[in-house]
Amino acid sequence: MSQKNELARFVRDALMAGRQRDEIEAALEQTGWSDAEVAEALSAYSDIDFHPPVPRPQNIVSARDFFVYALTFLALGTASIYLVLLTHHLIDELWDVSQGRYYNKRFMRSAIAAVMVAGPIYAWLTWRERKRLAKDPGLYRSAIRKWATYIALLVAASVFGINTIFALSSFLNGELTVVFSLKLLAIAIVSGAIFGFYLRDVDAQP
Amino acid sequence: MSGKFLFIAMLLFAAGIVAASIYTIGGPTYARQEKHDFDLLTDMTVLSSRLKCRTADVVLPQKLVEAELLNYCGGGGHILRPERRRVKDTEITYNRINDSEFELCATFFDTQRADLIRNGGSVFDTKTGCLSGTIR
Repeated sequence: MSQKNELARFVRDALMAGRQRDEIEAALEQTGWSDAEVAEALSAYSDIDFHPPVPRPQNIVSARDFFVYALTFLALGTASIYLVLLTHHLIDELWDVSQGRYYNKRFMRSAIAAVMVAGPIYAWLTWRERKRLAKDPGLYRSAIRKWATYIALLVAASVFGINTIFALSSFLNGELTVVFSLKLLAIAIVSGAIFGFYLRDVDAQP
Repeated sequence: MSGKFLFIAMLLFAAGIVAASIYTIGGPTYARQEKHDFDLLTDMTVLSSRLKCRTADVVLPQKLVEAELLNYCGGGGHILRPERRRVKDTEITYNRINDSEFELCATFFDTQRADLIRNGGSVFDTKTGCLSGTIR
């Protein structure tokens, strides 16, 4: 039996024997278990006054969640990258930086197609999952959902941060033109919106 | 700002960018015409390069046909074959001005397109749709 299982069994037995949580905590800490390990082991059981101890619900991992969230975040990545690139090429077209180049327009058409396919897929999957979560808040415990959300937050925050560094560095070097500023703004809007959306999602979890 | 508001705002932003892009670069009909014109000028540029010849005393061929190009400046009349052309349904007319100057003309949808003006440089006449060149 692994050490973790041994710890979980000890906590369960102690609670069954009517020991208080602070007593169990003190005993484990004296023995050398870390605060995090003790807290995790104790959090596996609800602190409601009921005997025997009631286990708390655990994170869910399912193949369905993997499919839905992998597809959702793949669609989000595709749509957001192509949306930023499309915005950059549109700015070039409008400011005549691309000089009406044929290949610039061809790329824009490909980017439009990518956004028009990935965007609605992302929107539909997200809207559908929101409805499921509203109906059954227990689904918030999906481990895949949590990981995907935090990965999205990490990527969006990194892009936003790097973009801000570029903006500031260009400004300090006196290279911040209107076209360049608009391109940086497009990246900031997209990454900022994704970060804000998923941060609220994390906060909204019960 | 709620998550729902951000979600809707982001979708509207994406829809706005897509709509503005389509408005700016044109729809499928315009894209088809643009590709036709771009490929046609590419065909003309290839032919124009084939007519260049550094060998002294060589003069331009009387007609732009495969048989004439077989013995013209190193051979290579295959360049005129239809399978070598990007645009097969538009004829390119060869005008031999004199022994060393020529013009290649064709009908474009819009000769004023920025790509045509810039790709052709000063030798592409946007009024006539002709690419003029010299043998050397």
